[in-house]
Amino acid sequence: MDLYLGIDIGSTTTKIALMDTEGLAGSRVQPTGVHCGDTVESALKDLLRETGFRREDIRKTVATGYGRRLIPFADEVISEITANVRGTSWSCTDLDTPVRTILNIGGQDSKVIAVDTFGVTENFAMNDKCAAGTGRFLETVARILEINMTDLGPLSLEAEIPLKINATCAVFAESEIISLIARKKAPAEIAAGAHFAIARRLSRMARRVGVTEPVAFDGGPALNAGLVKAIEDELAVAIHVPAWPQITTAIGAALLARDAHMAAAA
Amino acid sequence: MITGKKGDTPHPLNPADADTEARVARRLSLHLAMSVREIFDAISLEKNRPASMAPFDAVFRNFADAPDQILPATGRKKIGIYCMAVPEELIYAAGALPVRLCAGSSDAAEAGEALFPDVSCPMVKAATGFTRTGVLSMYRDCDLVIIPTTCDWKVKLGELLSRHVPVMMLSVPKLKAAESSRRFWYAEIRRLVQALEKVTGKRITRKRLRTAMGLLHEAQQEFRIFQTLRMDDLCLIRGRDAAAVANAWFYMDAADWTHAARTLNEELKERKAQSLATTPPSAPRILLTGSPVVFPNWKIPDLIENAGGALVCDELCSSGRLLWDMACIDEPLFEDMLDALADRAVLPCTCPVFTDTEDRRTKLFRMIQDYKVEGVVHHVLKGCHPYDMELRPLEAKLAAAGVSQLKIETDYSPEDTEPLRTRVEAFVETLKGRRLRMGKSA
Amino acid sequence: MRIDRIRLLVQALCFVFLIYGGLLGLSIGTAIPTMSCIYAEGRGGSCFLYPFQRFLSLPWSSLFGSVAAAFLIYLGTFFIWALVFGKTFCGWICPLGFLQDLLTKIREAMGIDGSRFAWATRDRFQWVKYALLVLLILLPMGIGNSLLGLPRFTPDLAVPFCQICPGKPFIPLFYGDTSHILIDFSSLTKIIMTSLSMLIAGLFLAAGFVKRRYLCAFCPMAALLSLFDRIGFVGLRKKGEACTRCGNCFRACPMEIREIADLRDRKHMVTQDCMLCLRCIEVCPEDKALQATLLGFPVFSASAEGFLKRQARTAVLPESGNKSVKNADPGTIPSEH
Repeated sequence: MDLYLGIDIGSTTTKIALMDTEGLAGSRVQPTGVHCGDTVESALKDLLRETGFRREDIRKTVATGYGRRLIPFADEVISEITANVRGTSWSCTDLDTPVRTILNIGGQDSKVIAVDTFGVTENFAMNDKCAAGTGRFLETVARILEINMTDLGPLSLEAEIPLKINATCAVFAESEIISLIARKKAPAEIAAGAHFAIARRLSRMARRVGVTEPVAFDGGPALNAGLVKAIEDELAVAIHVPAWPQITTAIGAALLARDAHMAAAA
Repeated sequence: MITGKKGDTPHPLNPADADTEARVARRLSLHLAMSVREIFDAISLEKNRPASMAPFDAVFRNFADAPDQILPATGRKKIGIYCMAVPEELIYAAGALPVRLCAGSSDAAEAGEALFPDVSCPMVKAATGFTRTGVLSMYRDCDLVIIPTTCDWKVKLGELLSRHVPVMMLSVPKLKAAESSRRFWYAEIRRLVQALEKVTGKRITRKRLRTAMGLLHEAQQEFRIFQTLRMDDLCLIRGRDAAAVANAWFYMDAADWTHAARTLNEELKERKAQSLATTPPSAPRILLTGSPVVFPNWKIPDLIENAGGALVCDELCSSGRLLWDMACIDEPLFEDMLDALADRAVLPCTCPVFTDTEDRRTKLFRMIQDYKVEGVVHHVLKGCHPYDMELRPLEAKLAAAGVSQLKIETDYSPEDTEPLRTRVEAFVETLKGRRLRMGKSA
Repeated sequence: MRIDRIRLLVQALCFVFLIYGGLLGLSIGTAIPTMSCIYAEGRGGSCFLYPFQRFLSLPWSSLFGSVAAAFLIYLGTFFIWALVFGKTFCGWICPLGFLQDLLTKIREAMGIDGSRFAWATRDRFQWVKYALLVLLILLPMGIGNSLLGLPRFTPDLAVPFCQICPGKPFIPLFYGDTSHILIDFSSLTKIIMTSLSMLIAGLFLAAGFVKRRYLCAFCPMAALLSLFDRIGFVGLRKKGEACTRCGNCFRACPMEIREIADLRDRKHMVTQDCMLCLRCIEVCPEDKALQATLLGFPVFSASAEGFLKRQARTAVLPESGNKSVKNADPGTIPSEH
């Protein structure tokens, strides 16, 4: 049993994925916390216990994400761009042609990656300096509306027309949303407005990079159906959300581990 | 020459599927609805607004709530027109409903910009966007769309629109003074009459023409009363609302508009008697001139008034000039009335597309006097070359007469609102300072 | 104020007075600057040009000698008439003007469109009335005197203008007198003059039907009265700053005067062709852009309000009556919904 481990250490959550020669063998998502090394260890232990795999079976480990250099047992580190591309291309199994554009929204960053026909990164843009247009913003909105993050999507889908939220900064948007609530605006329209604001920001970045179909969208917030719809509306293209959108980067890292190991073995 | 056919045709440079077109249409529909709601949200916070604005607001609210109901329900044919050069009387006389299609949505401009150069008139981009997506049904439902060749952008617009709707180009002379120009234009008007009769199946008779002219005279009468009320020292209505009142003419039936305007005028007279103003007397009186301002692009009027200015009048083809000039019935005979309408459409028109610049200067000076204007804001849309070309000589002449001016070059997008706000506020402050220096009360 | 209605009334009254006034023994003299034709026996006043031509055909020894005083008084009377009334004689008093206006009204009632001169054409024959004026001065002089050594002209040329003026064939018709509708074969001069008279009479009817005030463009009386355009008591003033050059005034002007619409920098607008009918003021939609003045004081001003009121009362067709759209229920468009 050859296993390959991919570790994606994000600012909010840490994701690990175990790939075997067939496909995904197991995965785990855990809040990163302060000591990411410990987080990875505990996540791995839990995953192995759950799946029954042994640590010795892991042939290669690749780490990515902002904390990638903090994992002593990782064999290689790789940028999350490359990992994301590899993982998403593999995960989008229902497409006729390979993925050409990848949109990713994480806990504290967002990125747009243009991929060429060979699956190689052609161009990308990242917003990692500001929380606007990231999962952090959605957390804030859910908090103010006093609902769970998982309810945000379905709530927003109830609205026909989103409310315009003009603030470009997540902090100022917070006060804008509070004033909207005070003016008795519908929570569904506020939620939709928040999604729209993120989608608009993302689409601006995407237009700078250049959008070619098919377009995939992943990262934790891709589980939010309302956000997906907002991005579809804003970019006016069909958006494909791969299976397991939250862990595609970790999958990519694991796949890159597998690729490297098999190349060495050959 | 009527080209194009009614109905759906895929965009030539986007041989992409109907799916993309549908997505683009949906995006525009959402954005438009959001912009309109935002406008009315802001309006709902305003105090002191005349209640008689309601019928005009209803027209514009429908842009978000019920786009299919923007135009009045009618069995008549709809004739789309661009520009003021097409006399609506002819359309009414042919038993049809004129719909002015000049568009003001920045989102529609985005939707239409694929075929345009980087810097181009946002109005025609928006019109193309609306026509291409069909988000507002009136852009595609017209049985004929008439485009006068007043400016280069409109000259080229015809080809783009003809893929979706039947288009008729109307050739407008640039030189008003020459007899040959006028006779040519009279001939073009007759060609228009024939086209209208063909599309509507109704003959334009002398009686129908006279009735239609009377219809317009009634509207123009209310408009004159309205404008005269704005000359008052008290600012009885916000400039943006006044622009909306005129703008609503694009979409309302003449008689309905006249009725609503009459009610508004009555209310304004009452407000005058009660000294109820929308801005304090300290607000400097400002005139807005230049490229058209069409709903939902209230960016400039709102900037001016939110900065503390009073927008007392405008010299825009989308509002202040719209119903001002009146054709005269000298002998109520057919050819004479047609010629009178032709003259009215062109001779007093102050648009810079004509070679004559004196008419606009005279009108501006007169308005400055009549409305006691303290500052002039020049609004030039990016790509609007006629207004841009005329700007510098005009600025010089106005400056020589001691008029304070501000030039704004912009497009429909709301992104430059903040930088513009600073400049407009500075301008208003300058005007207030001038007042103090000249010893008037602040 | 419906000036055109008032004017029509005044014209009618003046017509009756000038043509028939003498029957009641009324007369306002013989120096009237209007076509109060002497061939009407019971006229209430005489056209200035007849006695003027008669005076001029006297030998100069008489003209500047024995009748000099009478001539000067005569001219002085004319001067006062012209100064006080000026071109209003053309627009409000002249019987021929009235007849031409009636022709126009008949055409309008029949729903037939008129026609207009091309601008160049209009400009080209401005000189004709001055030429006629010169001729009506020189020819009579040549009858009583030897001009430039030429032999004296035949007496058949007496009152040469009256011989061709359309007043001569038409005005006596109002007495049932058709004796002036003929070609006189008694001499070559007479043949020419009466032929011209018939030609001009024909033009009066035919051209005057399709062109408003057709003959007024050629009238030497207008040329004479033009001398008083600037100094006359009645004036037409334009305020260029208020003018939008909409061209309504040009459209309504029966004399097709372009300057009224085109020029902004001129204040006094009584031009050589102007007959002070004040149609221009009636159709001007801009407040005070045009004003009729009496001794400098405005007596009738253009206004948007007045314009709209007058427009609303412009009739269409006899069978539709004088229905104004104002009477219609606001919110309905007549019949076309």
